Amino acid sequence: MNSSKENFLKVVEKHKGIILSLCNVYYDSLDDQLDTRQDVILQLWKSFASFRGDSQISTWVYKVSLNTILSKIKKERREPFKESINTNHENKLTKINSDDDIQLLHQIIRSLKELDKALIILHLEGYKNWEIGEILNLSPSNVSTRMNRIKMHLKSKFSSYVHEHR
Amino acid sequence: MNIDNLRPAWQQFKIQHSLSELSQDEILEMVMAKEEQVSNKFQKLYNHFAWLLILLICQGG
Repeated sequence: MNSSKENFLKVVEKHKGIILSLCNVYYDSLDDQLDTRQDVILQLWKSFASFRGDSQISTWVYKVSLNTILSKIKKERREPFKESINTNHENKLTKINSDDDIQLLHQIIRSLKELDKALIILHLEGYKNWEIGEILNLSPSNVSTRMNRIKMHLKSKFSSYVHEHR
Repeated sequence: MNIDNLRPAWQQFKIQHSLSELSQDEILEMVMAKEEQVSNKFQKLYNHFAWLLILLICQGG
């Protein structure tokens, strides 16, 4: 095995939590999650050689993974005859979320639109708005506007839940 | 609600997924399958080109 492949395996091993979490957030069924996982890993491999270390490797993993998933979803929407992945609720992965906060997080993320999911995930990861903009190819002002809209949406939709929950 | 309070939950969510099985063999298989696909495409392209060249040479002769 050449060193490039060895390095790549190390990167995927170290960051598989990011890759698999993103696949889980965007897709319900196990088949779709596995399919997406493969697409993401392939895309990471394709762009691995051109990664120059300008950003942290985890940022690069987020960027490639999220853009791959968002493009995949866009493509699937253009193919209406293909069975919609998000509507297939059979064969769901067993929820490994026992913690209440994780369940709440899961519900919150799932209530958002595709791009907004990416924004909130990157926000939770601690990225600044300008960094989120760079990862998702959005302007910083667009990110700020969307973030405010997301917060309003969450406030109206989940505040009562949180009060009951805590 | 303050979304920032869910930062630890996202970290926990990632940790749970990092425990999932994804072997090196599986990753290599995905990567190799793609490489094979690309290599087959080039092989086909090369064959077409070679065939075209032979045809041109034969017609010229």
